Parts: sequence; structure tokens; C-alpha cells
Amino acid sequence: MASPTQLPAAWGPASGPELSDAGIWSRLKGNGTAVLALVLLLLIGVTSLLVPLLPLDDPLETDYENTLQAPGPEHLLGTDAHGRDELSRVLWASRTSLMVGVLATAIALVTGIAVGGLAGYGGRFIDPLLMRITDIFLSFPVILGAIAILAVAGPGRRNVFLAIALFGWPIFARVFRSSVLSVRERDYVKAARLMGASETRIFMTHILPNASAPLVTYTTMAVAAAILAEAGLSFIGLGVQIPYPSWGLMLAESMVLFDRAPWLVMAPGLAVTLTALVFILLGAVATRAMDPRKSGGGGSRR
Amino acid sequence: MSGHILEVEALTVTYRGRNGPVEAVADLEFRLKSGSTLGIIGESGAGKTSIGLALAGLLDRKYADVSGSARFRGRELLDLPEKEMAGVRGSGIGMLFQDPVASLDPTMRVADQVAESISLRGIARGEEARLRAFKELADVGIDEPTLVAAPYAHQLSGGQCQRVQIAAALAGSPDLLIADEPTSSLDMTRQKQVIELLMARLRREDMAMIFISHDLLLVAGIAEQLLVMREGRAVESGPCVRVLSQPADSYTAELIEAGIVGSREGNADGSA
Repeated sequence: MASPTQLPAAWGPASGPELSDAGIWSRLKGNGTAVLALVLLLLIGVTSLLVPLLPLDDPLETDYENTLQAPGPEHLLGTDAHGRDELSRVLWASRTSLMVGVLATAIALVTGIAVGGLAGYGGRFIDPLLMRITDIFLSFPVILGAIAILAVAGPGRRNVFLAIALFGWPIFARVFRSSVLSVRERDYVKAARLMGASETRIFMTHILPNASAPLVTYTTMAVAAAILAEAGLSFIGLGVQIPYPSWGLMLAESMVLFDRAPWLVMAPGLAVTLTALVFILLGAVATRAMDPRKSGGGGSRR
Repeated sequence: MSGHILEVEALTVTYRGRNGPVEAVADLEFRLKSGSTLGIIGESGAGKTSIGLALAGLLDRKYADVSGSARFRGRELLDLPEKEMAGVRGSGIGMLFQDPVASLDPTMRVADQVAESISLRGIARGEEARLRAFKELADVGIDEPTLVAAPYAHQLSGGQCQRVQIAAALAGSPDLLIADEPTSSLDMTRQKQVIELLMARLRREDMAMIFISHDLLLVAGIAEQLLVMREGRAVESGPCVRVLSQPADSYTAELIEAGIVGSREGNADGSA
């Protein structure tokens, strides 16, 4: 038996729970849906990041000489009723959509993990208490709850994402709690406890990584839902306010012009549909990719 | 000290069932000398696993009442506060679970789990713990190429997972190992290898073991003392040789009979 003087290759660099493993990429290859979803996501994400650098017209600049122009070389997606460049407005609006979608979901996710983790791991008094509070929030449809909040707090982009987050966390709390309840009974948790691990350590190193897999799907779905909710709220006038661009608001403005300028409805409509679809696809893909048991490679002997 | 590492008296485990309490273990009494092996035998539902979990302090007191006394190295385990119990477990008691794959965290490399065990037991930290884990794994027959090719539990066979589990459980050289059916999910060859590995470690480190199983013949080969359980009660206990040759209880006689008939028919693989 050779006594090693340096760490064997098996260790690799020290790192946390391996989900960033190369195995995920090998599993994604050859999966058309996955590649499509990732390429589209990358395209949408990069574009919305680069919007300020692109050679676009000012999305707020009106030009009453050239209103309702059809798509052409001058304006690729035409102009709206105030002569503003539609392409520029659609692209600038993607920043609002993605920011609200991602930020609202991030806040909801962190809150949900905290509440669900505390409930699932905390014990017999805190669990029912937290779950009843969760139930109360869960009993409001997100959009209805958000409308109520915005009616009181006033419209605007910041209030929109706070309102969506406020009614978005309960589903994460529920899912995470049930996942924690099942994972905490596993033998490896008992084994860790036997080694003398503290409850905090057990939670952070064994329960959190194992219990969070179901959250991935819900997270991407929630981003899609939040993007749709933002569009919906802006559509009814509670979200982004004129003259700023938002897909929902643009739809509301151009609906009456559908006969004369259908591109003004189609551009923001397609943008919001496509973006939401990409996140939903991503959820399905991530669920499959993250399950290490579906791995084909890596020296499996089973 | 009395020379006994573990003294159990009137151990009773009651689960709070929906239809009233269910007694899983009743009035159990046994003693274990340091370095010796006690076999606990009984059919499914006889309360064997509850004994192990109760001794290791792993029963959720929300659902189970544990009464009686269990002194480990002269120290009462059953009413120990959770914090002190963590200390006793870490240094004194190791446990092997029935399903070797399920006893390893699927999201953590197995070598990291052995290293975690080593650092939690305060033997070594950081890189040193990792180096040590590598040695412990080599010691149970899991070599470096295996760990490179298959770093995660789901990539290893059941027998290999059981070896990893043994490496993690024995890393701190505990004085007492509670093995709850550690081989019943393995085939005959693997079972033999794991038992041999376990017994070699026990002899080398003078460790006491409670070996829980439903397989009488398997236990007969390794235990000095035998405890036969039925419906939560010990129907018979004593030196292994005496119990096997002159069973005082009719149930024990039945088990012996069943074991011999089973082996004659060639299916004593423990899965019956």
C-alpha cells in the first residue's frame, strides 16, 4: 500500500457540494431541448445586459412625423403611436422583465428556504406556526395579492417586484419543508449526527444540498410566472408607468391599434411569451440534469 | 470499573402510535465486555433496530419514549443532554446502517464524507483529514483509482458503499460499534468479505460490537454472546455456544431449526 505524500487526484480542488460537476454538461449534450433553452436564455440575458451599448434609438424619444411606421430598414420593428422605435422599446423592456422576474424570485426563494427549513427542521412548535402563516399567503393568488399591495403602496417597478416576492415565497417554503422532512430521516443524516456533527452543520452540509433539488424546477417556473405577473400588472396600469417601456404596458397601449399596426402587439407579445417559455423549458431541463442518478458516465457499475 | 463497556438495564422503547403506545422494546437487560461481540437476533419487528437507535440516541423523542438505563463506560446515556450526547457519539460509538448506499450522502464525494467523519471526531482537520480519509479508505479496500473513477456513492457497488461506511464509522476508533444488519443487502460473497473486514478491525482495535441481524448462522460465527428477541422482549440470552447447543426457549430452538433447514436447502443467504 503506497503511502501518499500528496493528495490523490480524487480530491481535486477543495469545494462544496458538487453540482457544478462536469457530469451535468455531459448529460446536457445530445439533449436538443436543453441546448435550445440554454442558447435562448443566453441570447436573452446577454442582449438585455448589452442594451445600453447597442446602437439603438432612444426608447423615449418621440417623433410625431413618423408614427405607426411599418417595420422597415429605418425601424426594424416599426414605430409606435408616438413615433418611438419599437425595437428599442422591446429590448429596453426586457431589462425590466428579467430584473423583476429574477429579483422577485430570488427574494421569494431565499425567504422560502428560510421559512421552510426552519419549519422542517425546527421542531414541533415552530413548524405548525410557520406553515399556517404560509397557508394564509398561499391562499391568495399571486396576481390578486400583488394587485392589493399595489393598490395600497402605489404602482411602480420596485413595488411590483416586492409584491410578487411577497406572494411568491410560500410555494418555496412548502416544497422545501416537505423535502427537508424527508431528507432529515435519511441514514446519512443519522450517520452525520453519530459523528458528532452539530445541527447547523448537518443542515448546511447534508440537508440543504439534498433537499434543494426540487426547488430548481420551482425556481425557473417562478421566474416565468413573475415575468408574466409583471407584464400583467403593467398591462392593467399598476406596474411600470408611461413613458417607460414594459412589455405589458406596450401591449396595453397598442391593443386598440391592432388593425393599423399589428407589429406593435406582436413584438412585445412574442417577447414575453418566448422569455417565459425559455424559463419553463429550463426548469424541465434542470430537473433532469441535476439528478446524478441519471448519469451515464463516471464509472458507474450499476 | 466493572470491565463492562456497556450495561443496559430495563431498557424500554415505546412509540407513540396513532392508536395508543406501541412497545418496541420491553425491559431489556444485557452487558457487553469491552472488545467482545454481542449478537442480537430476531425476526423483523422484534425491536432490534430500536435498541441500536436508542443506544445511539438517534430516536426522535417526539415519537418515542425511552426509559431504563444504559451506561456506556459508566456514564448514563439515556438522559444525556443532546450536546453531551454528540460528544459521546463522536468519540465512543460508531454505527453501521442496513442500507449502505442510503447511508452515504448522494451529493457529497464519499472520500469527503470519510474526511468529514475524521474532522468531526477531532482527529485531524483540513488537508490532513483528507489525507487520513484516503488512508482509511485504502485500508478497507477502496483504492485511489476507484475514487477517481467513481467519487459518488451511486457510482459504487453496495459492497463498496458498505466499506466506505465502515471507514467513516471506524475512523475515530470508537470503543463500541453498533452494526444494524450491515450485510443483509449484500450478496453472499460480499457479505463474507465485509464480515471479515469488520472482524479484523475489531480484533486490531479491541472494539466491542453489537451485531444486529435476523440471520442466526451469520451471527453464530462472530458473536460471543447472543440475545434472542421476540416481540420486543429478550426470550433468551447467554454465551453463543450454550444458546445454540442447548436453547432454553422454544422460539430459539425454532430459529436454530429454521437456520439449519435453510442452509441445507441452500438458501441461507439471509434474504428470507
